[in-house]
Amino acid sequence: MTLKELVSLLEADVLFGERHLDDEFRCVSASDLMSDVLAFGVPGVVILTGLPNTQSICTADIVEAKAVVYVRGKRPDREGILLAQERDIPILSTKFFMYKACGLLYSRSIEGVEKTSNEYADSMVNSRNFSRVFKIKGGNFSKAGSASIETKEILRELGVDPVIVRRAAIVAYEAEMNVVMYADNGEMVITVNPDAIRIRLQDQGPGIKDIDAAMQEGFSTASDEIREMGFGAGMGLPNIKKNADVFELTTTVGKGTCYKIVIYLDSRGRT
Amino acid sequence: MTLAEIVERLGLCVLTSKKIRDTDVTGGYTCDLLSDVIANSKVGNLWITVQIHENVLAVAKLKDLAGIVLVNGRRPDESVTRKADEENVAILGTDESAFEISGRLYRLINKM
Repeated sequence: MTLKELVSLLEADVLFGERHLDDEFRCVSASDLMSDVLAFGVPGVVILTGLPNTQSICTADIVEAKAVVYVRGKRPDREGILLAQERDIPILSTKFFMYKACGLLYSRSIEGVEKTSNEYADSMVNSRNFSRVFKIKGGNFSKAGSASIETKEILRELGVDPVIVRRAAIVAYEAEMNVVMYADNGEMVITVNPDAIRIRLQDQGPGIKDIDAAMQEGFSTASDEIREMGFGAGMGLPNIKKNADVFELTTTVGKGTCYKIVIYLDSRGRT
Repeated sequence: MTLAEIVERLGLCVLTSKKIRDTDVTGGYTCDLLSDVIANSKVGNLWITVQIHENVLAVAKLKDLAGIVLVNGRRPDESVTRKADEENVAILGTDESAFEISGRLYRLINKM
C-alpha cells in the first residue's frame, strides 16, 4: 500500500512529505507509547499515534518509520513540523480515532508489526575509533532525543551496520529519556571502537530504589505527566536490555545512576 | 455483539477470574493515554492498550467500558487483577499488537 492510498482511506491531511506519497509501506504500529514503538517497530513502519509531541518524530526517526499519522485530528506544533522537515519524515493527520483508523487499514490487509525485525541491509563495517560526549538536561522535553538522533547519524556515517545502528539508537534514546524524565542532568559518552559501540551515561538524579523491579517490564515510577507524554510504561530499561549485548546498571539513591552499555559490531541479528 | 462472544471470536485470554458478562460492546477504543480515554471513549467500548498500570481500572469504571484488552502479551501484576475482580472490570489479553486486534475487532463488529 502507498502513503497516497493511506491518505485517501483515512481522509488524512498531509502536513509534510508530499513528495513521499508514492512510497510503499508494509506494516503499521498503533501506539501512544513511544517505548512500545521502539520495542516493536520495524523499518518502514507507519506509526499511528495520538501523541503529537516531538518525541513521536524522534521515535519515527530512530525506528526508520515511513510516516507518522496523528489520529483524532491531532497535529504537532510548529516545532514538531520543523523536526519532521529536518528529518524528512512524512506526517499526516486524520480525524478518525485510532480504533477506526486501525480498522480501515487492517481491512485493507496491512500487516501489523512483527515482533522481530528481520531486515538486514548489507553494509561494510568501516568503523574507526570515535568518541563523543553529550550533555543532557533533566526536564528539557523539547530537546529530548537530540543526542540519540545525532548518535545515530554519527554511527551511520561511520559505516556501522544499519541493524546495529538502530539498536544503538534505541538504547541511547531510552537512556537519554530516562535522564530527561527523572534526573537533573546527565552526561552520555558514546565511544566507537573496531569491535563495539560503548555507551556510558552518568546522571545526577534520584537513583533507582529497586533495580530488579525496574528491570521488569511494566514496572515504572513515572508520574501521570510522563505517562501522558508516551513514556513511563515500564519498558525503558527492558528495551535497553533487549538491544544491548552488555548492560550494567549501578545506582546510588539520592545521587544518580550509571549505565554502561556495549553493543558488539558483529552482533547483527541479535534482536 | 457481547463481550463473551468477542472473547471467543478473537481468541482473547481472560486474565481476571470473574465470569465474562454478556455486556454489549459498542465498539473499540485504542489508546494508551489515560486522559484521552477519559475524554473520548464511549460507554460499552472495549479499551485496547499496552497500559497495565492500576490506574486503568479507575478509567474503565469511570467510563463504564466493557473491558480492557492488553496487547503485545502484556500482563498486569496480580494486585491489579485482584482489584479488577473486586471492581468487576474484565481484563483480557492477547499476544497480538494493538493494530491487529483493533483491526480484527473492527471487522467483527462492522461485519466486514
